[in-house]
This record gives sequence, C-alpha cells and structure tokens, in this order.
Amino acid sequence: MYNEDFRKNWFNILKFNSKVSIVENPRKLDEKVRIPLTPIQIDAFLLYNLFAVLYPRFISKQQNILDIIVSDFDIDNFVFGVYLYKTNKPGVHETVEILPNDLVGIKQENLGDMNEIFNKFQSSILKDHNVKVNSIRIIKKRGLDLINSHYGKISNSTNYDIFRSFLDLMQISINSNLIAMYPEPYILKFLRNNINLLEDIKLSSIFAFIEDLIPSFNILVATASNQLSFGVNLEKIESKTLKSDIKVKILPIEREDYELNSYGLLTDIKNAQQTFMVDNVFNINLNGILKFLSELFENEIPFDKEILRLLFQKFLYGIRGYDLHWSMYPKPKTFSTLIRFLMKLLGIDLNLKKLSHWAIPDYIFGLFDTFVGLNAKILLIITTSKKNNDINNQTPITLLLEIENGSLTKVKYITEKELFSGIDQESLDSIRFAYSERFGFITNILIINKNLIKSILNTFIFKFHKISMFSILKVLKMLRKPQFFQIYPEIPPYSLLKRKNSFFFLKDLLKIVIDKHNF
Amino acid sequence: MIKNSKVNSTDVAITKNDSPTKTINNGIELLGGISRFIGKEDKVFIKINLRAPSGFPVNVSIDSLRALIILCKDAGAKKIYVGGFPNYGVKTSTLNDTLGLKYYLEKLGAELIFLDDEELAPFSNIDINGKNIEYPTRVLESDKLIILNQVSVDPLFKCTLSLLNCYSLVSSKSQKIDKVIRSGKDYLLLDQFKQDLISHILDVFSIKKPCLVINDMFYFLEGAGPFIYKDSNLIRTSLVVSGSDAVAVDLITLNLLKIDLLSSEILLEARNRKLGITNGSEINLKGESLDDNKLIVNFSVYKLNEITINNTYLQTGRICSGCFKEAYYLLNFMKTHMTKDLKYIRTQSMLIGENPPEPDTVENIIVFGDCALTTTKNRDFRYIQVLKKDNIIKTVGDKVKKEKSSQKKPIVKEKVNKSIIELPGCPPDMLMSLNTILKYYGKTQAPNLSFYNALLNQFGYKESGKLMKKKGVTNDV
Repeated sequence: MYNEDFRKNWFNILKFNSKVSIVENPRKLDEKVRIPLTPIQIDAFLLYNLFAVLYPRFISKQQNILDIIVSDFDIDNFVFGVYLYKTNKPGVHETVEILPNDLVGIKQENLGDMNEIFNKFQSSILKDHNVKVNSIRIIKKRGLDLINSHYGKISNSTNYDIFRSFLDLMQISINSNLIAMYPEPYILKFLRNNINLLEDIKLSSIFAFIEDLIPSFNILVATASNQLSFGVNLEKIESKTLKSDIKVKILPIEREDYELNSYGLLTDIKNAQQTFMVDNVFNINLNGILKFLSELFENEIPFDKEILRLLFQKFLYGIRGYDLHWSMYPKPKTFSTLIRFLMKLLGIDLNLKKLSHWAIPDYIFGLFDTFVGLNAKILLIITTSKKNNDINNQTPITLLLEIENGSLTKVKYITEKELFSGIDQESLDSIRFAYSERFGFITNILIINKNLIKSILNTFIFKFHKISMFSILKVLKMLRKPQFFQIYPEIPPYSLLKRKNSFFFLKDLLKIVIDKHNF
Repeated sequence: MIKNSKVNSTDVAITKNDSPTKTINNGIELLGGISRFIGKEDKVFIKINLRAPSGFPVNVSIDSLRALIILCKDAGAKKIYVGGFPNYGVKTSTLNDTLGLKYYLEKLGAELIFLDDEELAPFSNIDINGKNIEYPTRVLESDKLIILNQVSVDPLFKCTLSLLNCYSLVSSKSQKIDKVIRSGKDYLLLDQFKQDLISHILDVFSIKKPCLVINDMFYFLEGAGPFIYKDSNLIRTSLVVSGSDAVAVDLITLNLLKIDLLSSEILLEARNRKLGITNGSEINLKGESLDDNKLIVNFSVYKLNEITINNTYLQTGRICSGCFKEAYYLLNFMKTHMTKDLKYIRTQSMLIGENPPEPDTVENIIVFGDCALTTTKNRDFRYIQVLKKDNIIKTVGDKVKKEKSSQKKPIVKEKVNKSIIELPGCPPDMLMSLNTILKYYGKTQAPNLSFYNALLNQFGYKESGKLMKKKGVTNDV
C-alpha cells in the first residue's frame, strides 16, 4: 500500500526513535534519515527533537495516535488499514502495530461524524489493547496514492519540482478532504481555510512565482535553545544554462560550540556564518516564533480586523526586537549608532529598533479602509516587461482580490485573457469596465512590475543588512514610475507620493513609522 | 411640490437575496416592474450618496447603481443622470478622480453630473416656507427622480434615511443651518438646530418628490458611521427596502432596525407636514416579512463620552445637535487616524457645549464650538500662574549680603494660558478644526495628522488654514 522508499524511511525513523530512550547519548548515534515527504536528509536525532517540540505545539499534545486508511468509495471492506502508534512522548512515533481492518465497522457515511468514529476506535482499542488513543488520522486511499506518486518524483527530480509536487499534494489532500484528523489541529483548519480563499490558484504556482522573484542567495536561519538547536540552510542556485534550483539543508547546531545570550540568541553569530559557509545568518529566538505561529494558527480565516491588527503589531514588535528576538550577520548598517546619527543630521530617522509597532497597523488599516473602502474588489496585474503599458505584449498574471468588511475573503486567478481583447489597451478605464462587467465593480486596478517586487524583496529581506536611506528612496522612486507601479483610480496616499519629493515623503513617512524618542 | 410617480405609493417591498443586484431587481419587480416608474423617453435623475473621496459604504454601492441604471435603460429612459453633492464642500471632480466614476457610468449609459459646477449644472431659486433654496435645475427638469440610498448609522438620525439623502441635492453651503435664536426660546433645550435642520431637510425633499426610493441596506455600516472609523463594522443583512413613498420606505427601514415612528423626529415632522405615509397599517408590504427580518445592530453613540480616546478627556456641557455631530466626527477621526499623535500629546482636554466642567489640566485644551468659547471666556483655565524670575543681579547681591532667601515669598504672576485651541463656529467646521489642531501641535507631535492633512490638501482644502497662528491658535475666519 505504501511506496517502498517511504515505508523504509519511516521504519528507520521509528527504529531510531525507539532507541533514543535507551541510549545514553543519542546524539552520538549519528544516523541520517529523510524528512517524510521531502528529499531533505536530516540527522535522525534532530528530527526526533523537531517532532518532540513541534508536534505537541501544532498538532496534538496527547499521546498515542491511530492511522486509518479508508477507501474513497462506499464499499464493503471500507477500511484498508489500521495502524496504532504508541507514543511515550507526544508526537514521537516509536512503534507501529497493525490492527485488524474490521476492528470497528465503519462506512463512508460515518466519515461525516469524526467524533463518533474517534469514540468507537478509542473504546475498542482501550478494551482490547489497554491503550488510550487520543488522536486519529484518516487517510483516503487516493491520498495515499498521491503520496506514493509524490515519492516517485523524489528520486529523479530537482528540489524545485519536489517542493511544487509537495504543495500540490497538500492542496489536493486538503481541498478534497483526503486527510482528516480528530481532534482537528488548528494548523489543519488554518491551512484549509487559507486554501479555500484561493480560487483557481495553486500553491505550487505561488511558490514558482516567488522562486522566480528572489535572487540567488545562501542563508542560514539559525535557532538555538536548550531543547532544540538547528539551522536551516537555504540556497538558491541560478545558472545560465539550467533552471534555478533551491537547496535546503537542516543541520544540527552543536550547543557546545556556541554560547547563548540571555535572550536565547547566539553570541558569536559570525562563527556560524563561517562554519556553515553562508552569506547571511538570521538568528531567531525559537520560542518567540513558535508562540507567534501558534497564535496565528488559532485564528479564524478570513481574519477578524482586530485580530489582524494585533498580529501585525506582534509581527512588527518582532522586527523591532533586534538583539532580543532576532539578530543577523552581517549586522544591518542601520543599527549602527554612528550611521543613524549621520542620517538624523539629514532629518532621516531610520531606527528600526524604534519601529512604531503599536501605531503602524492602526494607521495603515485606517487609511486603507477610508480610501479603498470596507468592501472592495481589487484587480492585481503583475507585469514582467520594463516597458510602459505592456499589457499588450506580455501575459501578465491577473488576480482578483475580494475584500469584505476590511478582510481579504477571496483571491481569484483570472484566466479570462480575452477580456483584454477588443478593448482599448491603453486605457485602464476600459480594462476596469470590462472586468467590472464580468466580476462586479472593480474598485481599483493595481499594476505592479516584477522588477519592483524584486527590488522590495532585495531591500527589505535579502539585502536587509545593506538597508539605507538610499535603498528605500530607490524603491519609492520606482513606485512613482508608471512602468513599475500604477493604481487606477489613484488613491490619495499614492497621489501624494507622486506629487511630493521622495526625500520629503520618506521623511514624513518615517515620522509615522519610527518612534520619536531615539537616543 | 412636484410629484412624479404613477405607482401606488402605499406599496413598500422588502427583498432579500444573495447579491445587491438581485435584491434590487426583485424589489422593483414586486412593486410592479420598472416600467411603472420610468416611462419611455424619460429623463431620469438618480440621486446617490457621494459623500467623500472614500470607498464603500461611505458612497453608494456601484453594483446596486449599475443594476438600477440597467433597469432604467430597459424601461426606455432617454437620459440617465447620476449625482449628488459631496460633504464638506468637496468637489465632485475630486470624488470622480478618486472613484473613477465618469467613464464607468458613461459606458453603462448614464452621465455623472457635477452638480457643483455651475456652468454645467445651473441652479434654480425655489422659494419654499419663506426660504430661498438653490436647487439644481437638472434635477427639476428631469422627468423622474430616483433615490438610491446607502443605509448606515448616523449620529443624529440613527441611520441615514432617504430623506437625508435628498438633502444633498443642494450644496453644502445651502445645507448650512444658521444659528437663529428665537426670543423666549432656549436654543439648546429645544435643540433648535435639529428642528431647523429637519425643517430644512423636509423643505428640500418637498421640492421634488422621488418616484422611486431604494434604501440599500444589503450591507449596513454599524458602530460608527456614516464615514468609516475604527469602530465601524460592516454587516451583511442582504436586505433592500424599496417603494415610491420615501417616508413610508424610511419608516419600514427604521422598523427593520427596531425603531418606531415616535422615536424618529424627522418622520414625525414629515407626518405633521403630510409628506408621506407614516401610518404603518396603510403601508402595503410586499416581499419578505417585516417581523421575521428585524435586525439587531449597534447604533452610533448617543453621548460623546462613550467615544473613548487615548489621553483625551472630554468635558461636555449642554450641546446642540450640530456641535454633537461635528464633535462626533472629530473624535472618531482622532480615534481612527491619530493613534500615534494621541500618544505623543500625552494629555488633552476637550471642552464641548455650554458651560462645560473645568478641564483636568491647563495644557492642551480644545475648546470646541461657540457655546464652549463664550461660556468659558473667564474661566480659571484661561490663565496660568507662573513664578516670576528674580533679577539675577539682585539675587547675587542678596546672596553677597547674606540675606536669607527662604524668608522671601516667591512672586507669582498670572499669564494668559496659550495652551488652548479654540475651534469657533456653531458647529465648527471639521476640516478647519483639523487644520487648527495640526497648527497647534505641529508636525513632530502630530505626525499622523500632518500626513493626513497633506492628503486632504490635495483635495483643495489648503486655503482654510491660512489664518492659523502657532500656539494659542484659533480658526476665526
């Protein structure tokens, strides 16, 4: 039933996990396994720790898990397999026991009531095996087939294709209810609701789009704590002849080699850069990020406006917490007191440690609600050419964003390219009218060039250590040029950006986003 | 009074569906079809909400407007005009730039009328109840008038009724209510402002009655409105109320929101003036059941103190509806767009209405409205006591002479308190008030307001701030 590679790797993981509790120093076992469903090789003990930390936080805090494989059709022998994992530590799978398929008689119609299925299996296994199952996972045969087919690609595809295949697998499984869990973890609900927002948009296409935008890089995202210390090495390799690919390595960070400060950050981050031979190291406080993600997943989708404000505030609070929640090497220039002082002489106050996390979300949401409205339909057109008004020559990516009561409720991929034909290509008026007739009144059209997105990503993420007044001014200047960015009809904040000198606009903007009291 | 309806005015339809277009179409179908309202070759004027350069629901739902225009075209209308006066003297052209309506409406077969452009849309002077009202000739000359009204909460009338919508058929200047104090009558006790306003609204309404009124409450803005503020919340009711009698349509709309006739001063006055049907039993309801569709919504606050704003202390005395409304807008604006400024300001007091209590501090006092200004002229907070500095040479001399300084009493001097922002007017003008407040606090202390003010200046408001002075500012003009 299972792909041989998948089965073999999974048994290796179980075998290793079962050894951990009986070996004095499991780190010395030095075994390698693959992260299930991915091509990523990982130290088995690190994977053990990842499961021990992440599974209880995001999936289930309870012990003992039951996997049930069922048919997609309403047939007599509906259950294809029942697998019991007794877990000493929540989430750490150590042993598997195959139980009879007819342990509990269920049919397809019972799948609507997961609570009943759960109770039946729980009481039956408690009675026969004296094990209390606290979580069940139901996988439909088609889901299993998809997993097997995905595994087939792992050995002979690039990482890029495997990640795309993984995202497709996840999207199809969630959309078609091929995988269900009870009690349902927040993360699954969060993923399902988010995927439901997307209409005709594949996660793999979003990944491909983002992959195309980002420059080549080689970074390490490191996190260290007494419980779990590891680094994720991400590398994008571009070549002129072959298609670019992404390398992912998850590596243990030996705690003995690094000291942690009182905030749980590496004190010698430069050492990590040299050891792992990367361009940049981002050191993140694991507890902070896990807490943020837990809170994020617990929310309903679409987000309530107030919740979104709060999450945005927390995110910004995280950003401003340099040396507290995160740090990086090379250290961003803007954090140098001398450079900030010199910029301040020009009236530019770029102290990201004083980011007004408490005020920015209110102001941005206030402006958006006022000038775009609580209900809106925004047509987002992403172009690739450097030339102005390139809608004629290119095949732009067109998305329709639907907003209700200030929250994003749907993102739809527009395939009706024929709407562009027969209308005045130069006129955004006519494009707006054509789309409005098809999809309801389009509040605004937003045209963004890929080069602008690349510039923004470079300035604020990949070259964050070089962020300066000049790099931000460059982005602002690009925003003013119609070949990179257009809003139709123009909303007042954008009109102001176009009318005002970029330097003075930035000065005013920084007064809003940076706290007043600096030194 | 010009009547332009052939339809049985007692019919009111309540419709519910899954889209605004379907809901409006169903309503008109229930009332007998669009041809009962619009004849072939009719010139139709559709009055919409066109309040500010802002998004939905401050302005009309364009999908609803589209449905109505298509119906009028189907009925054979010769010309379809669409328009309305924006609030605060904003030009229609500014709104058009922000909303991009002109082209869209033209493609639909309608024309956006810039009512504030006197060359394109001249006025006719109409005498009514002893008042002379400048009324758009284009509306008068149209064969039919339709009101498409977006229903939201309103600080004075609980919700924005179609009668209020009709009021913006005249300019902001014409809408202004002058403070006329009748001898022997207490202006504030009787809330003369509101009475005058209601009278004025009904005068404008009675010049030309609409043939079809649509109260679009498919989406309803609750909490704070009708502009979008931090406390605003948009709910989907999926309901539309339509009919040919505006008063009856408004009554049913209020009934859906669990408000009866006796709680609505404007409808009571409409009843007195026999402007429409106010007796529920005379209304022939069609479509959905009124009782089954009653809504529980959050109306806007009745007391200004209920608007809680960081670092701001309100002291209110007796207040007229005009000042209440403008103060409500100003406070909600501060709450929505001045988060950072309010933190930097640390503390401010706002005195509103006649004889407000003393402010808690002598710093950053906003005196809002004529009533507050005149009744606090000689209040203690207008003056501050400062210690007079001794002459340095004399102090040194005293020290040389070894005179004991502790025996001396400090000299206290009374000075005029300059930490006061005066906002005159009854009611004060919102945009001028914002300008005055910005002048007082400055860019550094009010960066959010400064940025917002720069946005507003693009709409041509800049002139209003010319007479401001730094510190101890007033917006007298």
